[in-house]
Amino acid sequence: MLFRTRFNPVFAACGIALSAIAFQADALTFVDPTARLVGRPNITLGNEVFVAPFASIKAGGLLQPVRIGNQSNIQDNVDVDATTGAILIGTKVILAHGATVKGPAAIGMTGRCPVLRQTTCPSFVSFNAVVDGATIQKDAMVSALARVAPGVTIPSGRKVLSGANITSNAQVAAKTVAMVQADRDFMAGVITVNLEFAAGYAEMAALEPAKVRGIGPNPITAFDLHEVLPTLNGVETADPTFRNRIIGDVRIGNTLPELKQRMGANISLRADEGHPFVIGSIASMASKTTFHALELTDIQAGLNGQYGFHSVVHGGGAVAETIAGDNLVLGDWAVLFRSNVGAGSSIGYKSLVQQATLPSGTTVPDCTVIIGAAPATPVEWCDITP
Amino acid sequence: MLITPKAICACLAFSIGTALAAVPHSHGHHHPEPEDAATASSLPAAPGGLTKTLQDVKRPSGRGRIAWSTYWKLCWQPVAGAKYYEKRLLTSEGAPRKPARINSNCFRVEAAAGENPSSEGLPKRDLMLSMQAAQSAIQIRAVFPDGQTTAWTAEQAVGEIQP
Repeated sequence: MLFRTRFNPVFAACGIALSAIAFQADALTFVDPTARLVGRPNITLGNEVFVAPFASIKAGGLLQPVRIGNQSNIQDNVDVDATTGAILIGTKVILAHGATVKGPAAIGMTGRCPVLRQTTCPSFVSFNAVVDGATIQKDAMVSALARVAPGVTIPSGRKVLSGANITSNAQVAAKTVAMVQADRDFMAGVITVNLEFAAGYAEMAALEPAKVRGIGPNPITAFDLHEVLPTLNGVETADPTFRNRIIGDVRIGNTLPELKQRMGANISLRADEGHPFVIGSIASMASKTTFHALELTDIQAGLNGQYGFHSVVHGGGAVAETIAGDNLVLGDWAVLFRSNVGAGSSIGYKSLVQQATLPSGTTVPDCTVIIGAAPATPVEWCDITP
Repeated sequence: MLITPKAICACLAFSIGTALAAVPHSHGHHHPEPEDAATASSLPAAPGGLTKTLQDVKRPSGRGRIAWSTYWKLCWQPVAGAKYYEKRLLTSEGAPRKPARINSNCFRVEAAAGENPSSEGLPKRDLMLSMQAAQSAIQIRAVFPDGQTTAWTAEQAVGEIQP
């Protein structure tokens, strides 16, 4: 596994720091300029890796490296911290928005693939989930806001349920469900899409480096042949100096000066495919908030939204957009995924609302998982800081 | 309103339409594939008569246990003259461009599974189906012998059987 950063005259001419962007014509790996790579000599990235805005990858010394295999993706505000032990991430590993991995940990390195002759297959860690000193084998998934504690191994063919806290191997059977073909199709699709992102962003960075900074357009990919700029208070806006990333067709009712006051840092509002998500207005948006919505999965958020630290708002499934009414309060570490939430609702700290419809004025307590019409369940690690 | 787990179940009984009425929304637009954008309106109509079903398959697993799978099956009316069909997967992270070929007018995928004491039935089946629906959907189109295609169907969430 090589770290694919080598001298590139295009970047040199454009003044791009090679430490910030990796690009290779035959094997596109892209590291967003806002991503933080600490301990670089001990970090290796494979081919066709996508490291999204504000991801943090920290290696310790020689014995605490981070190794990331080919075709893996490290999405927005993911935190990979190997200062407490080596982190080995295999081929086709998906670390979704806000996921945390603490060393020593291994993901997608061991286990078996569903097709016996295959040696590589995807594995997945979902939104704001935590892998803390644990092993996630190939062909395994960790669902949103789940935690896998030190010493635990999630074996191939198992999916950790949302909100679960697995603290021993004896708990694995009860807190996981079987992987099925639809999960495997999903992971394969996500890998394919992120390969497009790696290529699209790398090409954009090579041609016009300012476009991959601050407020800028979506990359041209097979998904979208047109660049679209964000719109702030009705004004199409590009500002590569802005501290947060606002990408593509994001339409926000606030002005840029208002956003500078109301937004924290390390925020990624990413409409990669140029399709709109509309945010009526932002009352406050804490640091490390991530919005992501792709083709056919718009986000519509109302006026005066308050978005907590490390929260995630995501479109999904391509059938139903995510809609939030006015005056939404989304707690710290909360996740809103493919749902409709009426006006005046609040979603508590470290809670998940997925595939659900909540009427106006709903209050979702802290550390609560709501998925579809299933009975609500707790997030079992409410008192543990990721 | 403070939500308790019990109250949440009741709240979720509200129809999607109720919630939408509370939230002004101007979605309703279609995002065509770039390559389809210019021609989508001139393409033959997408396959119609879509039906979605769930099929539970159980078998004894020994010692009073069962192994089970729930398959989500999408069927459509055959399109006259079609040589085959194509399936497009849409995920919550985007849609791969390359469609997969289907030779019949149905597509079936395992959407939930388990192995447990038979007395427990199919535990967490509905939860697993809801999780699938949030992450994946399918579109179908017909392909004719000359390579022409129909338009894509509307997106069908995997695991969901409601219209």
